[in-house]
Amino acid sequence: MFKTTFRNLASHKVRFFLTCIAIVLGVGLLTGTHVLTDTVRATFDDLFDEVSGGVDLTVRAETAFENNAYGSDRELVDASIVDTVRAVDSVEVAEGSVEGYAEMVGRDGVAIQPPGAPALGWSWSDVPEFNAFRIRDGRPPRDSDEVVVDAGTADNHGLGVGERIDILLTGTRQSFEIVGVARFGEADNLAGATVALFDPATAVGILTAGAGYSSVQVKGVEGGGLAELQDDVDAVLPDNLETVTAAQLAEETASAVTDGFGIFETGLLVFAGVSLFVAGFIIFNTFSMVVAQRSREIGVLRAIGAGRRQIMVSVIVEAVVMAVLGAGLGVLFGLAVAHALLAVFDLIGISLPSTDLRLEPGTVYVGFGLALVVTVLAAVVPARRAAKVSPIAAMTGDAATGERSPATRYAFGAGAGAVGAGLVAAGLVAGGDWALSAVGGGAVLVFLAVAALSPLVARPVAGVLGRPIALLRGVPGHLAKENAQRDPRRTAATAAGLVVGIALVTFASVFAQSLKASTTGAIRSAVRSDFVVVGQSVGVTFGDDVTDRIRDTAAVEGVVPLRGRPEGALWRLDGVEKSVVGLPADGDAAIDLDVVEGSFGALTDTGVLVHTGEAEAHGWSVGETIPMEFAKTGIVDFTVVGIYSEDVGDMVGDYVVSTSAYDANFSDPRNLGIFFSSRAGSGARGDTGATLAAFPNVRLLTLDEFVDEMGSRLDQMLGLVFVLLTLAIVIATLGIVTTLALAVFERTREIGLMRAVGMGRRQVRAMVRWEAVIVAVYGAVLGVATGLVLSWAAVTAMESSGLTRLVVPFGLVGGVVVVAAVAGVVAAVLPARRAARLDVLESVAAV
Amino acid sequence: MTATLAEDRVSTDAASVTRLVKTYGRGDSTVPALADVTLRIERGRFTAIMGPSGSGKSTLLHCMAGLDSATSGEVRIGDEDVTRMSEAERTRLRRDRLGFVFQAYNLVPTLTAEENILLPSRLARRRPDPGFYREVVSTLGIADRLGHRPAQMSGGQQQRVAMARALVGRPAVVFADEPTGALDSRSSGAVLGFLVHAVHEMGQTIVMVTHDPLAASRADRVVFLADGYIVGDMFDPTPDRILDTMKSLGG
Ligand SMILES: Nc1ncnc2c1ncn2[C@@H]1O[C@H](COP(=O)(O)OP(=O)(O)O)[C@@H](O)[C@H]1O
Ligand SMILES: [Mg+2]
Repeated sequence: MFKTTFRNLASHKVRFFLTCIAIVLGVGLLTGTHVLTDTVRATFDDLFDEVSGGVDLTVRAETAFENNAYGSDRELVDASIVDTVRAVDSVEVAEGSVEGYAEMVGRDGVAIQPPGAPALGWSWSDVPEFNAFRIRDGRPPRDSDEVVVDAGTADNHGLGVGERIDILLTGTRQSFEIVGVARFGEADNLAGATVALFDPATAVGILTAGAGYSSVQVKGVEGGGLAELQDDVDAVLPDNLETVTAAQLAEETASAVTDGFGIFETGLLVFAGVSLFVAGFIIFNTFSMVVAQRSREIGVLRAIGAGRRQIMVSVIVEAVVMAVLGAGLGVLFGLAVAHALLAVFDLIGISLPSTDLRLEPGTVYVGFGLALVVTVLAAVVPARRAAKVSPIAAMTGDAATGERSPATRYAFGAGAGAVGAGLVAAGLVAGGDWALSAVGGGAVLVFLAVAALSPLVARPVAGVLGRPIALLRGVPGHLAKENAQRDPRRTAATAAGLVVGIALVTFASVFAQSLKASTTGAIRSAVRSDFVVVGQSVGVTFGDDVTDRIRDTAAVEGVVPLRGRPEGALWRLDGVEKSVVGLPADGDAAIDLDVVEGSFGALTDTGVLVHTGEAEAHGWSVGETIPMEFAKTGIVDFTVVGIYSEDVGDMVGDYVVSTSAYDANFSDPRNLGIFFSSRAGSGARGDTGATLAAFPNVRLLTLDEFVDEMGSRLDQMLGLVFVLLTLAIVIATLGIVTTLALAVFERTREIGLMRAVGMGRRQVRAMVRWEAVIVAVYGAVLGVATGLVLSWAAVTAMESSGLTRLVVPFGLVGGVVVVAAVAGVVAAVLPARRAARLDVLESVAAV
Repeated sequence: MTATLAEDRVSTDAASVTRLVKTYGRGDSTVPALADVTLRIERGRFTAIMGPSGSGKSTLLHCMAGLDSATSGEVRIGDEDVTRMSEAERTRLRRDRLGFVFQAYNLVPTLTAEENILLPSRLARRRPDPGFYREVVSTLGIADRLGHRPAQMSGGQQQRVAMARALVGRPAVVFADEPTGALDSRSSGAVLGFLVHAVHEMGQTIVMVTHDPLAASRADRVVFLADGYIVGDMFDPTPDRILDTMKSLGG
């Protein structure tokens, strides 16, 4: 029995390969992602272990929660604490260290802003155990005029020892001489961040305005225990300070850095999931067709005494072999993917010390496990169908492939569709940790539902799509239409891959466009200023020195700084993270948030403005007290002084506190933007343009430019979507190739007959090609429809969160259909060639 | 001299085969399916080809019809030399100038009877003569079946649709390979009747391979093949005479 299984596999290498590819891609992406994150994590663990190995303890202010990828907001440590700690008997060395904002300006006068990483300033330590940096060229900084820069920045921007460099600091811009270039342990930089190192006294002055240290690093006496050292130091510290061991700190830092890869990881895992899901359909289709084609052989086996169970098991075994081989190749492919991604990181300036790829056993288990589950699930139905083949099929050659009760399938489809759409909507509305699982699970259910119901519409829709082709393309077109309508279940399953990919693309683009339209519309109606100053690149913050200079410009009025962080300035409400921005009490002159209750002007040091959505969700009204928990200052009670209804997306979000309250509770008094207007009749832009020339880290935009820029941020989301589209279409195309190749094989006789009565090779090719186009466009149409329904559900569900408009990008949707048609043409190339090359006589004689 | 011969052929022969050799396989394992066959098929005649199994009947038919290439020798349909044609030219020849009826599986399952009948002319983007189309369809008695798909028709009906397809383009020759081989005697009698009718009433030229003496006896002429050679040529055959010849061939 199993001999036939393996012979079947061996004799259809191409089909086997095509069917496997989707598994290989899926498992490959999955493995690649895990290998990458494990490798990055291991690398940073090693790195931070190494660089903090000499520090026994770090003294720092306590934080309520970690609210920042590069170290939480903390109060500063008073300079006197260093002496207090030094006085402890078990302490050998203690030294204060400082870190803060320091952004270098390149030779071209443009601020050097690392993509997705901070621009850091640190104090240099002469205690080697306390210093992660090692001088590569030059020497350490000794003077208030000197700086050492990280090797990554120096190399990328052509900076060398002896040159002068301008550095933007909180509130000022200063010039320094580069006296050294340093590496961070084994790496050229710290996960893409730029680092400027100053001598300790200078660092305290410029990074913390002389107010204290960020932390104090401690080394114990030789031979002393770590636990005793920690006890001893804790005993002399005031309540608001804590000690952490080197190991703890290394892990904290490493996980904070690797968490930065989170979005990237999620994206890759979604791709992997889509691949495996589509692989399931391809496998289902292939096995269904193979079983139908082999019905005579199966009939013979049944006639000579093979049991149903044996037949079923033989099909399942074939699926298992396929899964194992596919997963094996997938793991290898995954290693290549991880390699490639690391190379990409290197290209975009994130330096990683050279390390071997980490392939954890868990990664392999998950890859093989998922491949097996998907393949076997997909093969079960065809296997059961095979088991039902009667011994009589040996004589007649046709298997009863009819379904006993399509009603069950339709019922399942309807149910799964409803539940799935509900889950997607609920997940989007609720947000929070389980939202992604809900949306993902809901989407899977919706796609299963579509797959179950698709055969119902496949015949009529393929007929409608095929009619123009039949009219324009004559007999080949007509036959293509008939072939596409022939077996609705097969057409549906063949198109399923495209349905999934295109539905996701449609959903994401409608969602992004709707969000864009809603947000930019709201921003336009809310912002009253003529101009906005923003950071050099989208979502980079800048200091208040810019605000002061603009205020000093004669022709300007209504200057309003918007405090906040690009990733959100986080605080917690009963443990749930929220974000807040800071605006002055007269901020509504620039940004009118449409306050429906209370007033904007009432924004005091403990007053907060809340968006109507949040206020309703919590049942708050003006006067309510909210315990806002900040990382730096702990729980602070704020009073709701106003409730506003304008939805301007991330720009303002759901909570607004006063500028002074923001500065008191966050470590960085930095701005996302500064809004202002020109006094009537003055050329404000010209004046402020000159003023801002001293700030290479900011740009001056008109309101229109600002709105466009806020909108274009959402366009970047679409970039990701196009990657998804490409991948989904590639996999779906493979599915079409496999099915078509099998269909050509199945129709050998028919093709031979048509060739005999005068069909040319070109016409045969056209027939196969147009069938592929019809199936592909059918998939696209169904995908677009599914995507539209999903996005309609999502937008409706999120109306109260500011998604007020449903925008359908018709151009993109049309483009998707065209791309699908082209994919169909490409998919048909090989099967069509094979069909055209069939020998007429052999085909006519084929049984 | 040659010119007169050629003209002569044009005027009387629908098809001709000269010194045709067809060998299968290569090297040591060659199988001579046709050894040296010369044959002229006269216009407006019903010619049957008979012979024991493996004697080369189908091979001869396929070579004449441009479905297979000859190893050497010449095949002409009218005045066109089939052996010199490219694959595309042979396809066009089959489509425009020849008709086919196979033993079984003659129809495209996704097309209706009418679409099957019109398939060659539609492949050529031609319109067949509507009057003649109606005549063929009504003569074959399938006028009420035109909208049906093959799966909804009996074997006899399917063969009649196949014959309509072969006849409706008024081809130079209709080739039929055991057209009654898969039918019961009643249906096969009807099919043969239509073939005879097509030859005598419509002037069609038909070449039919069969191993059934009764079927062959309906033809105007029977050519006997054995081991790749023509071993007999009988005009106005009767079943008895055919049987006798077959017996003498050791069939
Ligand atoms: N494609 C082929 N390859 C090899 N030998 C063939 C092929 N087709 C036919 N033959 C051989 O050629 C001879 C004639 O075959 P065929 O013309 O089919 O005979 P008939 O139709 O009279 O039964 C037989 O010996 C057969 O085995
Ligand atoms: Mg034969």
